[in-house]
Amino acid sequence: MSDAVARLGAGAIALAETVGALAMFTTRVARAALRPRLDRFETWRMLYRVGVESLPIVATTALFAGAIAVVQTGANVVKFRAYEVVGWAFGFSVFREIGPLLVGLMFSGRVGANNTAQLSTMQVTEQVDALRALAIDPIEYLVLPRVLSMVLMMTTLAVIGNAFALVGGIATSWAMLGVDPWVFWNSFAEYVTLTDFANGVIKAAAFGLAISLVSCHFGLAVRGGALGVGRAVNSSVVASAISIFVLDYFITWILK
Amino acid sequence: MIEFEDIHKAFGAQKVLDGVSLTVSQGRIVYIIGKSGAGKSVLVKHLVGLVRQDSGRIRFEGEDITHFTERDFFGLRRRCAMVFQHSTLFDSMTLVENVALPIRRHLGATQREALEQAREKLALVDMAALSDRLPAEVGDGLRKRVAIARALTLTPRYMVFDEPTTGLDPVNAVRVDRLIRDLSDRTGVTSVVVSHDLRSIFGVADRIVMLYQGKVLLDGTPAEFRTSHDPVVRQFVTGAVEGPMAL
Repeated sequence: MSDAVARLGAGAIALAETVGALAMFTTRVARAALRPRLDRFETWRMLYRVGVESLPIVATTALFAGAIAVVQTGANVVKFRAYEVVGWAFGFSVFREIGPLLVGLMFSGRVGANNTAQLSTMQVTEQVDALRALAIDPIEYLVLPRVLSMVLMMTTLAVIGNAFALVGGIATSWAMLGVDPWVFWNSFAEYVTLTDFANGVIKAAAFGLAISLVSCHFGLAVRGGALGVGRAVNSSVVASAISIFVLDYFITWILK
Repeated sequence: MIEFEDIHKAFGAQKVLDGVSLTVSQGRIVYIIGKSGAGKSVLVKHLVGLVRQDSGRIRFEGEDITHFTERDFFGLRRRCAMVFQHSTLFDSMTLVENVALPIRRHLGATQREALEQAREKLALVDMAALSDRLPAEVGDGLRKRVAIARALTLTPRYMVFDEPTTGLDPVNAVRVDRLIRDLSDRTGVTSVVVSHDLRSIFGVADRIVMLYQGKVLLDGTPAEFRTSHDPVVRQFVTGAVEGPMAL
């Protein structure tokens, strides 16, 4: 019994330490962002790595997310012969919720994990100390370009992902339900509002910010060698996923 | 001038530095020696703020830097560069990009200008031909030379070298030794060098400071080390396996 309580207490302390360290890290990043000395070369490189290189995986995910949304609603659409609302149902669920959520999780797995691995390797091999020794602030040089790139590219990829999801949805409803693409499009264009679209974009930006801060924090806070790098990547992926769902809940609630 | 005064540093229960005091005069080359784990690297990292002392005082060019913040240290690090034991080149950049980085960040150069200047710096250490390679594609000795070129980009007045010849073949080790000596003789750069390499120590040092059990055991010239009767110093200098030096 006392062991269980001790373990629970240790877990609570570890959680409080992680949240506290993340909050302090976020404050440092915010302070650096107030007087940004962005390295243009590094920022362009990050924008390419984070955005362009993620495009194929995000497009594939979104294409299938759109298709799955139609498959899930397919039975009810046929049952109630509600072919004229399938575009709306698709747009509402995918643009507001499924799209940004799935793209966020994919982005976290690909970009966030990669970012933590890179920064933690730099940390354990003293490359971060070498930056400091060259009078270069790691927050300004490494973190700010990553945060900016991830927020911008996550938002952009979510918008592009919406377009691919739309293609997946139209193709699937046509092939599976026999809904004419024009009927799907008209229903989508008439009922899906700019607010639905903006809702998803806001979520994507928030997810990008959370993934960037979490992945950079765990990367730079690593201790130990290769074992520490593995642990940091694992913690980063888990914490990013949790923060995505928590943020999703609150943003949905606020923008409902 | 650099002054360490009664520096104490522990990592958890392990006491590494236990009241170290020493002075490094302008333009001199001082070697910090001692067995592995003696706290040599820890001591020199205090100078550029990569490790902070538990107690004691450090002065750099007469300025008390004991309570410097990380931001305060950025100014000092432009005057006092450090070359790490494992070179620590940025592995995602080519060799020339590594050298160009501080030029771009601190000297207001564009990427193209910085790359041009970096190639010139690499030529000084005979590395211009390999400038577009990645660090993983060249050997330890070559990486070390690039790390030195990178540290010299901001023309510092002080250099800290952490085991600059460790792992190098004799020819590359002599090249690095000559570079350290030339920096002092030609440009008056003050160097603090951490080393185990006896050939390098006795070939280059103006002064040698030996750390043992967290304290300065002997601070003197190479001649004084050669003639010392202290059994620990004798054991280190002769490389004898048997002796008082604890593991």
